[in-house]
Amino acid sequence: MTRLSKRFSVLVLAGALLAGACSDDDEGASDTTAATTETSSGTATTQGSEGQSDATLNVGAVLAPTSLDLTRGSGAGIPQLLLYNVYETLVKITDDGEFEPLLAESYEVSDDGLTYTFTLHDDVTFQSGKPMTSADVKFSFDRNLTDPAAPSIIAETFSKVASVEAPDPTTVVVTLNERSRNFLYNIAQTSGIVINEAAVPTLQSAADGTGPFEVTAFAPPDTATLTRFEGYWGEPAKVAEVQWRYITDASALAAAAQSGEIDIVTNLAPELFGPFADDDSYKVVDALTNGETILAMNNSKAPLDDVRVRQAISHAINKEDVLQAAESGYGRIIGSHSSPADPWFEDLAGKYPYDPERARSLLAEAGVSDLTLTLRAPPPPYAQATAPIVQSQLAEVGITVQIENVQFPLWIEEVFTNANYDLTIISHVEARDVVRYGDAQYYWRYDSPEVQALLDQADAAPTEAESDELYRQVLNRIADDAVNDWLFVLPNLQVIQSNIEGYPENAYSLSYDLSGITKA
Amino acid sequence: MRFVARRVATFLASLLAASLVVFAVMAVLPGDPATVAAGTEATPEQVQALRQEFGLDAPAPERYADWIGGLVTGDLGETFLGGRSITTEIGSRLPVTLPLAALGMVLAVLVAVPLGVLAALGHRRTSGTVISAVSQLGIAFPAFWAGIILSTVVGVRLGWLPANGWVPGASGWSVWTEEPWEAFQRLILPAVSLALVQSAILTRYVRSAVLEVLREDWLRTARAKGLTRAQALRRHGLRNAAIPVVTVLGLQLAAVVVGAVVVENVFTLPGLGSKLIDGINNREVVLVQDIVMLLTVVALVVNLLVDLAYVVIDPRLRHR
Repeated sequence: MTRLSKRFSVLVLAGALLAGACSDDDEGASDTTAATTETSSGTATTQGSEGQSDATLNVGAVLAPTSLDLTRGSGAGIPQLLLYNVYETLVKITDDGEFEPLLAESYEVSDDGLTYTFTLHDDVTFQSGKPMTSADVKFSFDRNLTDPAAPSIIAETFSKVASVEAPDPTTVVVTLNERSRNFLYNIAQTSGIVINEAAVPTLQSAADGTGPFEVTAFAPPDTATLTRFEGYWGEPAKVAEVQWRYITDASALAAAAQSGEIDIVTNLAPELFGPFADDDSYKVVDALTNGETILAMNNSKAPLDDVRVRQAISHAINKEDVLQAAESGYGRIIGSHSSPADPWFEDLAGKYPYDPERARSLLAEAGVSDLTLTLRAPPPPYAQATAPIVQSQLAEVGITVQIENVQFPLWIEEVFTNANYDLTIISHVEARDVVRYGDAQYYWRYDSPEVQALLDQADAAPTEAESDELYRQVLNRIADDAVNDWLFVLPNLQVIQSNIEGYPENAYSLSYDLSGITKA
Repeated sequence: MRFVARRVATFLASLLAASLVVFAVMAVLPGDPATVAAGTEATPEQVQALRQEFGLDAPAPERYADWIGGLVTGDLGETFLGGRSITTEIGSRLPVTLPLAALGMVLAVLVAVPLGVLAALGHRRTSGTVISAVSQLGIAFPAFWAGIILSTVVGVRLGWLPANGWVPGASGWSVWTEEPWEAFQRLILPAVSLALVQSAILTRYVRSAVLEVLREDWLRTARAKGLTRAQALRRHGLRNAAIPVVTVLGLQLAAVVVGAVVVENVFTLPGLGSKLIDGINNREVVLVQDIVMLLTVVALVVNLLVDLAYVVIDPRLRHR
């Protein structure tokens, strides 16, 4: 049985941490699924027109990396900057969510799903000059397998791994002790990056990867510079340098884009998006992330331990209003812990339609009256915007909500670690994180042996179809139990100058893939 | 001389008191640096291991002594996240914040002194009233609001100056030798935002200080001797008026440095301000303490210099 330790998926991407000013214009999302004008709807690595190869690309993002250690550091800024750009994996997840060989030129999975054999390219070098072989892959994987300091997301990825062997310099064999549907998906991301053993002592301050860019400057929390790695084994990057600027204030980010100082805004606050969407001199991308934004409930604290109370709360919230307030209508309403990127996604948004009458009768049934709950709201704008809506809508059904604004360190300690809360609002941006519902110690304190068993079976299922079906059962079950009230999927809104091509369109990956971008 | 010695002693005592206060405040702040550094994916054991590594387990007096000991020997410590040298972190921010604060102060003084004198001279006429009213308005403007307006109008709409940001790819003092005009351009709007409020405040002080002087008997005597009002002011009055103004300058300089923190945020300048805010958010206790102590030292030094300046300006103090 997989031991699911705490994994926190509050890597709030994008629009999440922008301190955007409130706007009163209602630029809804209705007509602005403005796809980009020139790139085809296929992969974002489609070649655009040839750009200048000595160009400098200026990228604006919100969350700065806290260090350069992609193996241990936390926060969305690190993979955004480093994953696929500086560090690489054996297999990559493309913009469309498909697997594509990367460091491994081919791979094979045995019929019983227990043996993965990867054949590596033989001409790969690290940015320090050292050639990469299967020994480096073995080192990286063994380190994740045995290091007690490995974060739980990595420990979990490797929890079913029995051994990692490197029989020859271009072959790696990973043997699992149980079939794992998500193993390949996970090692195609942060858990599976290949590092250089010699670089381990300086991982936090310097990066030595195999990717198309190397880090030449890093000044948190303001800037970072990536320079094209001339010794890259694959197709060289199309731009010579990428200057990253981290700007937490949404208006300042928008201003920098308007004055042309930033070529790409990787995520813009929805309320500022409108003018760009209407302006032909910019390309705009309106996409979804993996971020399930939820009104989380403490399932272990009375009266929230009564499913009828949780269901009542779910019926009392009008998600359309919430989406409008928090994201100006962008994003997508959901009804369980899954985003459309998940292969097993099922639209369960209709399970708890807005029905204050039903909410009141459920509360009466549960014998609850004069209920007061505390809502601890962390800093992200979507949380700050949603909290008052929740407060007023719950007041309609007789629940008094007291809003407490808390900073993140406090949130992590009180809500996330100690489960000292009634309600909170947060977005979980990790992919496929429905597995969290199998961890009874996770901050929702939801303990369902049935769901735990279903999750184990789902990962070990012999076919993907069966696995999908089992995950869907989990989604339905947790929705029936109203563990949380799932509000919406976080949108990701990009603003891009018109002379830029080859940028990623979807925001399902934690990486902002620069490898195909050109600047004319 | 005894005056100077007494002032220096007060300076050191104030530093000590400030260090105790900032340490105490950071110590009681909820939220744990180890939790932030370990991240949300860490297990409780990993967080505990980090707490020990960072020395957060030690009792408060020990941590205080370690920190002060480090400061005195010039070792400001390292950040929890990323283990970066704090001395380098702070040092890399000074090329932005120091020139910004200085420019803001210079602009403020250049505007306030003439305006204040004019306001005092014309205090019974329209010119005086107008300047008074405008300065009243100026005090009401928050610096960040002025910054946002300037950034949007002058930066984005008109495009005369960069809307925000520092010189791309620049780091350290070298930017001032290699691209001084680029760097200066990026400080103009922020400095003006700062100076708007500061000059308004200073103008009112200069005005009242000069008015005071104009009412003095000895000024009337100077007039009686045949000097015009302006000559009398220049020869006798300004030095006397300078004393309260210099006092305020000292206090305002501290305000300018703090204002620079806010303005840096609006203009996304990689200065001490953004580092401080980032440090607070990440519970970088030592970094925040070090920066606050630095700002305290600056404020105390400025006030010390002001006090010493009195001795220069006012001969009556020299023979005490």
